[in-house]
Amino acid sequence: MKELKIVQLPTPAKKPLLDVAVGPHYRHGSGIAQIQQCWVIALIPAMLASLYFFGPAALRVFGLCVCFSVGFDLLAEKLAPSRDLTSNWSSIVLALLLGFMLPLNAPWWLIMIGCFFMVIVGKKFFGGIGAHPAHPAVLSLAILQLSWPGRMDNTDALKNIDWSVTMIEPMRLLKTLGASAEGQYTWFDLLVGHQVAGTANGMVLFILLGGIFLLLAREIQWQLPVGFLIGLIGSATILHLTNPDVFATPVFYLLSGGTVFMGFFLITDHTTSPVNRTPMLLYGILGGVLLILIRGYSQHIDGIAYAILLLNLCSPLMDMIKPKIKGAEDV
Amino acid sequence: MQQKFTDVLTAGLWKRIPPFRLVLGLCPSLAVTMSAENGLGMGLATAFVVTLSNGAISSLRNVIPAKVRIASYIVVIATLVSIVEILMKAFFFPLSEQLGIYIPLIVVNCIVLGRAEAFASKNPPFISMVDGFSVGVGYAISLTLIGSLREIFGAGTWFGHLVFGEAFEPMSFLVSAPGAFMTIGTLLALQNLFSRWRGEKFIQG
Repeated sequence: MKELKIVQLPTPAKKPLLDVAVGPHYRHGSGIAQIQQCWVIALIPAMLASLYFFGPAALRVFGLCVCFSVGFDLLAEKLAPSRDLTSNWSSIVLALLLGFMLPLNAPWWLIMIGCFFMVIVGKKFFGGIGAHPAHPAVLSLAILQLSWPGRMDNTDALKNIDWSVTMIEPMRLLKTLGASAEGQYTWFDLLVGHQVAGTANGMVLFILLGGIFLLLAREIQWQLPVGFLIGLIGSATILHLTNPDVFATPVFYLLSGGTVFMGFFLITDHTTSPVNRTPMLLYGILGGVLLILIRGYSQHIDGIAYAILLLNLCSPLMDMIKPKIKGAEDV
Repeated sequence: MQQKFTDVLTAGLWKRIPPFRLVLGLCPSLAVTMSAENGLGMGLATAFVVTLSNGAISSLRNVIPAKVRIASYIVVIATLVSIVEILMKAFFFPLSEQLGIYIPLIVVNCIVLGRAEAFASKNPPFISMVDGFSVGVGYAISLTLIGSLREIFGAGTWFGHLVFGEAFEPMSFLVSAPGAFMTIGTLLALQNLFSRWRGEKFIQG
């Protein structure tokens, strides 16, 4: 019997089998790692401002956050390999976002537990970056605030620092004094970060710089921050006009605490925000309204954590708003 | 026969362990596992009920008409649960005060009804009782585990004894309701990870 001859095509070792490069294509070379590096760059101004104001204490918080977060990420990758690699930088961005919101005197074990819940429970259990339903850093912040309210006290953390401004969180004073608390602060102090907030989320001006960089780099869509601004200012104006004794002016809400940080860095998270343009605008508006409602009518001082978590759960619902397919009705 | 006996006895402890594999009976596992003691008490009560109800229903399986079987099962289970409730009130009064409404609610616990429908109605009494015992003991073990984890890290004690000393700051999130979801989810993930390592084939649910 004659043996079948197997024709072997001469295939070069390195060349891929299918090569579609015909026209003059432009290769961007981007990936998850590049996107996350862009976010790190956007966070740098506020980090530098925090380092300038607080010195080594801020460096301790950021360093511990990044170390624990990357450590847990590596551990999870070793134990349960998945497509969510540590080399995609996502754990570093999450760690920095968490570090921004933690108080300055957070003990190391608090940061460790926060990073565990952020990376393992918030991100890895759901399948890594691109799959988690709620923002991991905010989830971890909410868990820490529920567990150790005494340790998550920003006013207590900054009690040894004197900036010759009122050293109480603006939102806390607003809860006790009503709208007259606004007179205790000048808007310039609030803007440059001379206010009691987390490690870096009160540096409004520098966060704004980073956010504008992200917008210009086309990493985040303008609909989200603009929608957030519309929702926040609109609902705050309505509440301020109906009850000026209790509710402060919209500008005060905008500049105090981590509001700007939320608008540029938390609701714009690629995984948890909606996909299309119109839902993005709605998502932003809803975020602003929720934040004002939680700040105005609940016991929480800075309602960011709960506003974001509630907002993230609305995201799949908003994704049902899809653009019309052209020509689909003819079929 | 020997092989089937061993299989049934071990299935409830790993392959079908509630509430991780057999995702039934979540309500008590979320509600009463604030402490290891509560978890153990609830688990043992359920184990007692599921063992005896499997035996009773299996003996009556040829008498019960198919159309009204669920109602008949409920009557058998409710009788047994009443016995457990009265016994607990008589001998373990503080524990029964702690568990409260969740002891009478064993009647509608899906594990009991599920084992009756899926196993006891098709198999002879002895092997049904073995199945009920194994599932019940598996449930008791997992409830004690969930309760222990939540109590140790959420309150710093285990069966009422201090574990870490006075300086430990407990994580009060774990003793609240969302902490139960997170504990069960974490344990479920660990079990799936372990199964994946061993190359086990498993079907969720």
